[in-house]
Amino acid sequence: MAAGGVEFSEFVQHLFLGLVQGSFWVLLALGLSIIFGLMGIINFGHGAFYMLGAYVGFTVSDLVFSPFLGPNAGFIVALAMVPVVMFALGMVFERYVISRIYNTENERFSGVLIMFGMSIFLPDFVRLIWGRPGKPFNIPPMFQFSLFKTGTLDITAYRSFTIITAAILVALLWVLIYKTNLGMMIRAGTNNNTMVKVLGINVSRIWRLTFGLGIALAGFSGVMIAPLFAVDATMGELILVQTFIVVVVGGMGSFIGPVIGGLILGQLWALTPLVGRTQYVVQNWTGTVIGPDFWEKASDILLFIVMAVILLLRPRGLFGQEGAFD
Amino acid sequence: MSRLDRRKFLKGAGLIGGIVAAQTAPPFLREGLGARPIKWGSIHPTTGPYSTEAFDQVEGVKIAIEDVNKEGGVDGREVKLLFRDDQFKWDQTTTHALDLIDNHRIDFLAGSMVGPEEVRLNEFSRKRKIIYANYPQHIMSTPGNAKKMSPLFFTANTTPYQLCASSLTYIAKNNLGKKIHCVFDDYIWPKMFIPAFEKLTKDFNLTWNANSSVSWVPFPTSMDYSATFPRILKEKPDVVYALNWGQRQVAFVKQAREAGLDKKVKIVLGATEITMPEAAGLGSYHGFNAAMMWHPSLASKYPAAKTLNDKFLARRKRPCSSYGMLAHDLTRLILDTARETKLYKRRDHFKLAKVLEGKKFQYSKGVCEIRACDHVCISEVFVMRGKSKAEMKDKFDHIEVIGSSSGEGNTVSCEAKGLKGPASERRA
Repeated sequence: MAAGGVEFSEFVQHLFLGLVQGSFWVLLALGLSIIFGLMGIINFGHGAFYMLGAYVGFTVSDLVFSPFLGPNAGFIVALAMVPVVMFALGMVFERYVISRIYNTENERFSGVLIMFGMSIFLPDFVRLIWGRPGKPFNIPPMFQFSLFKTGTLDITAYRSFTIITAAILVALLWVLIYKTNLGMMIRAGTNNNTMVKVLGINVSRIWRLTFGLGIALAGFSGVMIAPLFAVDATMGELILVQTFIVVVVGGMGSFIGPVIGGLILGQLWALTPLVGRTQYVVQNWTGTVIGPDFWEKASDILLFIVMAVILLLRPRGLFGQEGAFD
Repeated sequence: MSRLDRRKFLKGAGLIGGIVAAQTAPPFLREGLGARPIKWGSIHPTTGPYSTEAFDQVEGVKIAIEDVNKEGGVDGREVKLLFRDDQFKWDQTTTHALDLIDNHRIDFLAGSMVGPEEVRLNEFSRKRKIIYANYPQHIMSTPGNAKKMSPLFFTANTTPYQLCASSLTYIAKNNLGKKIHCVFDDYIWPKMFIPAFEKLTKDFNLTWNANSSVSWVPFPTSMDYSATFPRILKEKPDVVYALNWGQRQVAFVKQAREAGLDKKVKIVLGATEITMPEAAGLGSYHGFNAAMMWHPSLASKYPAAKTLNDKFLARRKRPCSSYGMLAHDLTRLILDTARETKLYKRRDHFKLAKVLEGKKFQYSKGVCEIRACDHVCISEVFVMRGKSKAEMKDKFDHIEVIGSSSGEGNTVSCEAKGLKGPASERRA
């Protein structure tokens, strides 16, 4: 079956790849959005913590050996341990660094500067500890197979695993935030933390937990994404740009915003190159036919265009809190 | 308390003024008329994404300078390295070049990693009439840039055309297939390969078209190459030729392997470096081919390559990359030639350039030659094969040399570029 010259299987292939990309962005954007939603800190260091998570994951998987699980053990243990390690690191960082700026003049601006500083410090720190060349961290053997084929493309186990993991994680986070006492306190703190303090709740503890949760999500994303990308000290720099686009489009401080934003932008990114392969002729204002190469190159630029349009028409994003930037 | 008279005041003020002047005077004045060393001003991005390769460059330069000094220096003078880190920021490249040329009065300008740095330093060389030892790939010689190239610009590195020629020669000679599809990162360096593809695919009777046989990947933000795979698989090429670098290449190799692309088509990487398979993991380049300017395994063929690699292993605890080798060889070439001719002063640089033009040299690989018209280094380019995990002898042994090509046939001729006579005679 073909529509507009594009085979249906080809369309499905791109949908699948968009879902994988979208899942990565959802994982990263949720951590960023949670920290902003409660604490009002725009975490420019999120990419650096994501990178640190990948490096910790590499070390853990390198050290672990299991006679039962074989070479898969390292990855499984890394997947379980990295969020714990990064959660603890986030809590310590909040306690000894971030908490010092609370109730100071320009609190939010100081937060931005601290996190921006971390985005510069952490890559060099990682080079110092782990060395300059990138580190090998590959797909574990248990995921190195194809589930089925659509057209010519294999739907691989690891990419499918990332989609399922992201979906489970989103569901667990939703339960945590909307169905538990802790989640209720986090939401209340986001709306009116003075009232929450008056009710006798230790808000600073909640902030610490929330910051730790955001950093844990960044680290977990690092472990999940690393087998398909390169583990390198600069790996967090570029992905942070795309993550911010997702959060801005979805809405800062919202839970559902980054999820919907990530999935929409993932599809936009994956389906744009397909436009150039349809039979429809697209011309620019001079009458020149726009070739397939334009649409391949445009997939990234379109993300920025969508962000710009959203900022113009609905500055708080699709699902963002009103006045989030006030 | 004694009263401060005019004489005491003038003496004191003179003394303080002298000390301040001595401390703040430009370095070349502070050195006075003593035995002035020959200054090699070298700029490398040792901070940033290519810091591993940049440190290798610095080490290569240091080894070359140490060896020259051990052999008596240049005209009895010691060669001194003035190293600057431009942090992979082009404004810093300019700032450091200005500081080195104006304040430190360097005798030779050297360094850099990528095109934007090369273009800036080339301009300094052209306007300030100073020899520039260029370490990255020679993009100033491409037909569009050739006339902007400084007549004092020299390199031991290859051009995009040479790299492309080596891979396509290998593909054609070994019958890897007729139909080629390219995966190019969307920036200037891969675009420089297009003219080479247009000519060489015709020469080798390969099927390739600039409009329909290239998948462009957004650069630098997108590092996911998977969106190009459906198109590649639909077009069913025999060979996929990929041009990407650093962590982007590592991501491409991992993703191609994960999607099973390497089992369906032959994959040739336009260029690689020893750090990339190392970051991708043991056996990760198995089944892939790639072009390289140099590889440490050449130590078994060339004694000088072994000496250089041993020094690297002792100092950096890792083998020498082609960046280290290229920086070493070019530094040695210029300093050795300056020593032979005693033409090291800035006013003699055009004379030194004339001697370097057409000069044949051999340090860490086969005989190389600097072509006079555009200073392209006619040298060997190697074709590599990725080893499997079982084949690897140590953790650095990811790839091996399986072929090489060299000669002027691998370059665009001087006539085709419209260049006549030696470059040193085309003064800015």
